[in-house]
Amino acid sequence: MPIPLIGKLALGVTLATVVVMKDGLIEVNVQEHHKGGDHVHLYLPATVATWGVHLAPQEKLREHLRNHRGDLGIARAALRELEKLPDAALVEVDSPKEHVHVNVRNGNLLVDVEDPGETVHVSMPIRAARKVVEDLERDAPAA
Amino acid sequence: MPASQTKRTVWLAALAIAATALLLAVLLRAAPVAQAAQAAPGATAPAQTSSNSSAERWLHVAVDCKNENGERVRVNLPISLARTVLASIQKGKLDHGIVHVENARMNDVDVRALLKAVKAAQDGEYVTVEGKDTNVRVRKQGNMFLIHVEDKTGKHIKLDRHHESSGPENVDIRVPIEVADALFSGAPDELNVGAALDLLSRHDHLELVSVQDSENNVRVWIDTKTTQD
Repeated sequence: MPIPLIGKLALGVTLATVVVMKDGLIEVNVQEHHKGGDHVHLYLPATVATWGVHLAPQEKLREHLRNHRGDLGIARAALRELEKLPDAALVEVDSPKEHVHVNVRNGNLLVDVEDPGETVHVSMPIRAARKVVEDLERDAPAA
Repeated sequence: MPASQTKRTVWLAALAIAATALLLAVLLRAAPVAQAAQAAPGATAPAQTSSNSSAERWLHVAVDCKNENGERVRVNLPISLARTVLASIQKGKLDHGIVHVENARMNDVDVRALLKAVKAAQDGEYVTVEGKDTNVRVRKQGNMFLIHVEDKTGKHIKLDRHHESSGPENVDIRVPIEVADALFSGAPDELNVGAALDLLSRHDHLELVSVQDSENNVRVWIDTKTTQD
């Protein structure tokens, strides 16, 4: 029995959604406080970040990675450990004018910065970040 | 197209959409749960994270400034994270948890011999310096080195527009002898920070550093909690 077109579409949408959502979402929210300041709030599937590694201009990427292979190893080690953590407030800096908070919650690394100029919130799935770093490290040529 | 076939197509489409919705709902609900479970095998709920029963030790730093800005800093770091990151760094004077010290002679004091001697000695106060501005006391108590420094000169700080404060500075440092031993366990020009961290992580609760003066309160300690409450 042939599958109707709408069924194929639904199946395609489902598969695409599963592929895109499997690594979670990256959230970036930047609000500038000055008059006419921008407000950028976007959600990106973390899978896009892993694809981005392969879509970036390879020549420039390899050159950049050549110089930072050691840093990638450190980032990978840190992310692997962060991945194991329960929910926790890692850093809290509070003053009357500024607040910086770094938290781990449900496998996401949350960074919140609030100062008189802007409010920034970034949420990133640690697992996806680790995968990106591992991909970059694998692609990095020896120094 | 006959009516029966159209009807069947509509039913199939509706079934496909329903299945899609169900699959998405299951996947989207399961993903965060699976991630959380993978990230924290021992954590069942956020409320329980303040009393972590696992073996993980956390290094805590608390800084409270009493000046007009009143900054407050809290850092909570699992020792395993610090240990792993330190072990992965091979840059400059850092080499997989070992710090190379250029002037390792430390004014010709053989720290290792000193440590060995103090370790074998009885409890007591080994160094007492009483000066006009500073008092320093170093003593051994059980398996601990206790260092107390009192700076009597104090600092003047501005609390707000109308008030100033001044007072002595007290620094207390507690170091387990085995940790100091591990720190100096390598070559003469090396500090084995990784080994020291390993031994620190065996302590359930340990007050390491306390600094109190008119400007700041600083506290560094280790325990099994993820928070400072």
